[in-house]
Amino acid sequence: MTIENAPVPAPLAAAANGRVPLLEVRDLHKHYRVHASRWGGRAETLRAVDGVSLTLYRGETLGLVGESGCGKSSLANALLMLDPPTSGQVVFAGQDLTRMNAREMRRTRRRLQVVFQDPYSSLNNRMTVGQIVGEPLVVHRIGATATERRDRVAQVLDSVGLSARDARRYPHEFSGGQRQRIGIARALVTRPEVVVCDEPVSALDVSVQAQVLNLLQDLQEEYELSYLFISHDLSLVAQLVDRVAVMYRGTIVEQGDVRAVFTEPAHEYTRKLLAAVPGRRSRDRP
Amino acid sequence: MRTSELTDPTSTAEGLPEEEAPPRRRAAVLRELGWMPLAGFAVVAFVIVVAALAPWIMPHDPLVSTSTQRFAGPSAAHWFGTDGYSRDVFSRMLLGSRVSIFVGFVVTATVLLVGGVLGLVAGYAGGLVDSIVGRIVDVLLAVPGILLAIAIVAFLGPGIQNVCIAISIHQLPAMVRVVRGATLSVRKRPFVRAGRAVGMGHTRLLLRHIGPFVLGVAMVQATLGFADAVLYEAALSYLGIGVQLPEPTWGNMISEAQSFLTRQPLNAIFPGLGLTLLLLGVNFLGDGLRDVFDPEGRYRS
Repeated sequence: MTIENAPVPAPLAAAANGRVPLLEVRDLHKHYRVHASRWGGRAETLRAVDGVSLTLYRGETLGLVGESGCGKSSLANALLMLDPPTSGQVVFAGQDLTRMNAREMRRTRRRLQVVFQDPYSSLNNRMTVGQIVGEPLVVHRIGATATERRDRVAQVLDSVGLSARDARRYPHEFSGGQRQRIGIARALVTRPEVVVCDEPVSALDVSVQAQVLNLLQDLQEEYELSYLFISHDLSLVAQLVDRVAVMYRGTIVEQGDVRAVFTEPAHEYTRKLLAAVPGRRSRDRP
Repeated sequence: MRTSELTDPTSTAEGLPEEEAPPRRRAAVLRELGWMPLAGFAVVAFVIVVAALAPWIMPHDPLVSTSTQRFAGPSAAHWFGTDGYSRDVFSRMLLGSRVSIFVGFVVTATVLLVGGVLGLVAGYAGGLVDSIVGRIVDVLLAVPGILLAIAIVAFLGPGIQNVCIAISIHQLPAMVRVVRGATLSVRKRPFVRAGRAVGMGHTRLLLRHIGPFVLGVAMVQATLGFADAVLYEAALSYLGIGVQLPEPTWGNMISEAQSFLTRQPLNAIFPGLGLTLLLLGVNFLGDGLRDVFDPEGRYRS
């Protein structure tokens, strides 16, 4: 079987037993026009996301893995409506995001948040940490008074391992790992149900990665979060997620329970991906 | 800045390029810039103070004859001498500086506001809006600057108000381009995307997250535009289509003195020197601001 012609398997029915789908991506496409030149030339279509279906159940962590350039981030941006998808549906808590108007979508973002990859450029460095983390509260009119909002910011800073005093400081005073904690605090301050983590630790040192991952796991319990965890690092995904979807060239080639997929990969591409994990091959080949 | 207060054991991911260097110390910035922007600032501040106080510090009435001698050279009573109507040149220059400074400020504020908004909206919205604004800018740029200003004043009639309108229209394209370019590059930065993901509206994103980053380059452009406005006002008044005699401006003083250049060259030299000094000052200041806000010269127009 060639990788290109692989059929897209349906989500595993077994995993759905007694569980509530919170976020459902149905046959999502995101195509970009690529022009050969400014004038003339054939306009080609790049199918960054080419018919992806995923289901995220309440309280679980769904991993999305694949090599860089396979469309993981395009998928994240499309399902968050940051780059509106070409076609398909994104159903969040029973509502189709693709049919929402701008106002409804903005209101929904309170419940659907994201942690970005780069903890440096994703924070506005002219604002204090308190302003950055408190701004979602202002936008969504949460908290009646400034004091109430400040308390809430202090509380969320505390739960990501920073202190309330840090609210007065600026992002450049913090290390990469701490900045990512600020990004996480910003995502959690509105008490979302789903958090899309787009390579949240790949810009961090290995020693810091573990701390941030542990934090994400702790917060999942504390805030009852569901994660869509996007990563190219299979060993991270293996530790963190319940189910995993493997993406290749804009499509999902395989998905299922993480142990099943990683121990007995059904798809050739998954096998290649697993073989490429450092340290793993030596164990597999005696 | 309190960078030393880091107590968390998590370390920085090294080798990651930082988007923007942390703000430098004010003293260090000043030292790097050297004396030119400071000298420029001093000159500009001096002229502004003089212009503001002109009616109270003028030694003579600038509009009527206050001497028995025409074309007199400098003296204790008339520091810069007298002109062809035996009026005091020094007092006329003090009053004339008000026109230069007034036109400079009005034009700069207008261009900053109108050009800033157009540039922000065009850069942020993109698409059709950007195309329409872009075409208007192209049309304005197609006409040489002084010709455009002359045409507008000829159409609207002379006077300080129309001079301001003409110079503002002439300066608009450069400001729109600079602000649009800066907006385009800031718009792509991840924290703007993060703002959208949080659920912010366009107004908040533009004013709180894009505006502050664009303001620096816009201010630099505005400062250089100030010098340009002073020069254009002088040119229009020199050509006789700006501020009308007998109200003095440095431009029409030079024009008036030109006919008697052989008799008393100082009547033209003093306002000319005043203009030169003010323009140098503003440009030194503008270059300094540019070194602070736009060190790589990315948005130069």
